[in-house]
Amino acid sequence: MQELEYEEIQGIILSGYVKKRFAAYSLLRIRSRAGAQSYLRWLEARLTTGDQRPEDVCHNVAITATGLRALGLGEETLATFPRELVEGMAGTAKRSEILGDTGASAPEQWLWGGPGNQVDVLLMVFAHRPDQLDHALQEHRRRQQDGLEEVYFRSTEMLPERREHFGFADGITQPQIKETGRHLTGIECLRAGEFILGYENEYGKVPFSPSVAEDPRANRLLHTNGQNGRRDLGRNGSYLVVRQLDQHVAAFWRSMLDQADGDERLAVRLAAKCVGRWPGGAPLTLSPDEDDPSLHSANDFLYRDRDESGRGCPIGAHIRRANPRDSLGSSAKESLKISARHAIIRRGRSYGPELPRFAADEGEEQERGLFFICVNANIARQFEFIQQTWLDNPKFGGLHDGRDPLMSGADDNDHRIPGDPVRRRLTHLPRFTRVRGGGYFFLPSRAALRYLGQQAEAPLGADLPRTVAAHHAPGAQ
Amino acid sequence: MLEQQRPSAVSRLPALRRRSRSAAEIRRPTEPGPAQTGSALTAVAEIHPGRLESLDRLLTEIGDDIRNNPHIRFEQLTTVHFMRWVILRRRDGAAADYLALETNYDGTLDAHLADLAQAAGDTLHRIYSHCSGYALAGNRFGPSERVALASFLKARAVPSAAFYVAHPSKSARRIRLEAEVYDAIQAFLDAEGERARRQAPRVLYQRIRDHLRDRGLLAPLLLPQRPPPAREHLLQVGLRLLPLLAGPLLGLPLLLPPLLLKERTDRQWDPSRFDDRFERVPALASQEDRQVQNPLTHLVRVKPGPLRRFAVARVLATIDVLARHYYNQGDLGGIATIHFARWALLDDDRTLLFFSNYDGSWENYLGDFIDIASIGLTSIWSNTVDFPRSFLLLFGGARDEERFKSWTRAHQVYTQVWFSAYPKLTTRNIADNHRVAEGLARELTDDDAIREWLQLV
Ligand code: HEM
Repeated sequence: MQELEYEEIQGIILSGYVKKRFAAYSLLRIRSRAGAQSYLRWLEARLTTGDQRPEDVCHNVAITATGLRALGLGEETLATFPRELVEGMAGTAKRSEILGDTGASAPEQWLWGGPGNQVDVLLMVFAHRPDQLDHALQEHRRRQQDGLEEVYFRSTEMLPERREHFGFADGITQPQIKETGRHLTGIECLRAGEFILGYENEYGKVPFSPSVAEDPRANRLLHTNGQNGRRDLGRNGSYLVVRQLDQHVAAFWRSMLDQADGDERLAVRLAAKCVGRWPGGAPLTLSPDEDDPSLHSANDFLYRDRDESGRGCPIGAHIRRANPRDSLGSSAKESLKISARHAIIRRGRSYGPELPRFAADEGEEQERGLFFICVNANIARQFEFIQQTWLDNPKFGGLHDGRDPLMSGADDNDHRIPGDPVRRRLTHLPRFTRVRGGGYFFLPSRAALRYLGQQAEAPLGADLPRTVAAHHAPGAQ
Repeated sequence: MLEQQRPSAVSRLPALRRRSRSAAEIRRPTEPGPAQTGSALTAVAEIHPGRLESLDRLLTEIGDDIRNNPHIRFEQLTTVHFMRWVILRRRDGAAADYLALETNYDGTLDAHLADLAQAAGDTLHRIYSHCSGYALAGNRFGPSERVALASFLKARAVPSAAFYVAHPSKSARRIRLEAEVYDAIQAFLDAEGERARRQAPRVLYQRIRDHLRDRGLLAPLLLPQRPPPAREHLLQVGLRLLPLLAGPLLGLPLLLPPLLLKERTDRQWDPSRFDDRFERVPALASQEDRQVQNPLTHLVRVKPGPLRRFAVARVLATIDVLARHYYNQGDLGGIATIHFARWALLDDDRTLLFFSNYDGSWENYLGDFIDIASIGLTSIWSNTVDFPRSFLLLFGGARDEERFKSWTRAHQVYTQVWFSAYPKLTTRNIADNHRVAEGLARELTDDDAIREWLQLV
């Protein structure tokens, strides 16, 4: 097994920095290449990588395709990136369709990352205390002045017990990277290449990696890619998927209460049947009848033997869709293999003030939700697959009709809850989340960030390259 | 055998959402299903030089609006499960520009062709007047044209080198009927709400049955059907394969060295050479995921030389035997999302054509290829140009995930026209609806059986 090059790998791949309860996300647009590059050089010196244990503040940075272009990468280099990244999350109508970004969630309505508010750079800062965060951000802003403009800013504070806004414990399940040698608990231990470019993945292959043509600067900073005389820009980097998902908390609980004919206990039970875990975190498969605090972080369970038909955790529940474990198809072994090949590391955080369960309305401050972030080496096979083929698929796992009850991309959703003598079905569920922004980002290694901060493939402004988007067909006619 | 043709009554799509349409609108079968179900027709006709663009336009008009286009009312077809027209271009690896037709049909071929002519004769006439050898002039489509069209298509029929059907004994009509029954049960249970859950299983079962009887849905379920095929014992399958594989196995000492050499030296696909992927792939993807099912059309040259031509033909013949006698229970080598798939060899076995009608996303389908069935698929496609490097014909190949996916996209062909007679059903739904229907056609009396059945709905 390859040794990870920790000093090159951005910390967010390896850690959620969960002890730092405060985080800020700043979405930026590049105004001048030189200014942006000088900021990136400054940032590179502060970048948190896997070899560090920063006491107070952590900094990570990611860049969209438009950002890479604005930093001077030519089309020939861009074309070595995956199509998803180059087109962008909001780049084609087809992609919006398969992600469920339609209606109120359509990119035209987004706060950032949509057609009117393109973003190039994502800065992530994490801290123990709000004053540390503010202090760090002030410094960043000063350094950004010459080259970048803020399109959107969001600060977050973790909710008590790491719950998300619907009131369920979050951040329990996370795949571990085998090469780190940590937490070897069997089913969720995956090869580094699923999350970091330059290492073998679950297929025993090193993932395709973006590359640049050789020149003195590239040769100084980047490894060869072992073929066709190019330099590996992707190595030790990854891709970040970001989606800002507003959660309609009052609407969610009102809906559960309606379906339960006003019985609050039943409403909580039905909500748990939507998630697949009780609010405290206990998996329904292990504890089908009531929340069990002793199982709050239980993760060592499978579906096939204990809960094949979904009497505990319904087939359509969020966690069973997001990670079907051994329950797909006709063989547990094959199912585990498939689940391992469509995994993500989740790094999102909740934003906005808490709202009590069964609140009458969303309150004054309407904006609350999940700033969803995930790490994956292959956006199409990991994030998009989970979103499209599992979460938002009405036919998931043999179902007839019903998307993810928490975050479906369509209104009028159904959710089947097996029971005795016959199933219950939650019907006409509206969307409980609304996409407010999003993007696909390249998460560069330290060396790649250095390259992007210094490189000068073309003089500034000389060749503002024709866009790839302009000369390839839109996804849907 | 035209007398076997069933009345081309309007067998409209069932009301799949509980709220959409009243049951009375839907014509129900009143006679037993056809003696044959789920057969394959592939007809490949050469396109008249110079008529390609006009044909493309016509097909695009149809394909872009499959349900409401002015040319063909597909839902009037009574014999069809899935069908497609696709242009196979010389530049995509065909020997000439061809128009390929795929249908998956019930009943006899003659009855099926009559059904096509009945529902869309004028348009078929227009489409095939773009093809060489289609001698009929004029715009009128009368009885004699009908006969001529049928013989034109039959003359251009290409046998499937391998053919797979998920549910070989089910007619399209029966599939739609059982889906309607399932939906009616869901609507009933939703309306009953809490009441249903407080009833004794036996009472609930009876009430569901009564409800279906009142809506006229029980009687058609009682009509006899073709029995589903049995999965043969592997030994029996082995005996069937013996004549196919004995030769190659005996010849192994002779065949192996050149194969191993070729496997080391054959060129493999280089994804960085897929220059036009930013145009081609979005165009292909644009026709995917409009509904539950998707079409895949794939065309690739067989590698030069007799060894590869021999290998691909034998492998496909083997897969055909397996699909008919072993993989006849709803999965092909473990892949349970394919409704109908076929491989056909064109141009003297120099080109391999693949048609598939599958459930779910392309990523999922290709993922299944790699995760579950890579050996079978590698044994076929490793004989075609640029396939990712294989070992001993069976290993490697499709396992090279990113390279394999890129290769597949590079040889995938845009499907101009594609129709499904039950666009909202997965193979799994069809199998489950079948079990529900079985528990209704035969009245259950045993308490445990009733309990189990209730878990299906
Ligand atoms: C507002 C939207 C969302 C909410 C409220 C939500 C909530 C939750 C909760 C409560 C859990 C259980 C806790 C845990 O296992 O860590 C969970 C697990 C998970 N979620 Fe989400 N989630 C949301 C969106 C998403 C999205 C968009 C994805 C991916 C595309 C996703 C993927 C996952 C995965 C992979 C798991 C772990 C499942 C397992 O391994 O058992 N979630 N989510």
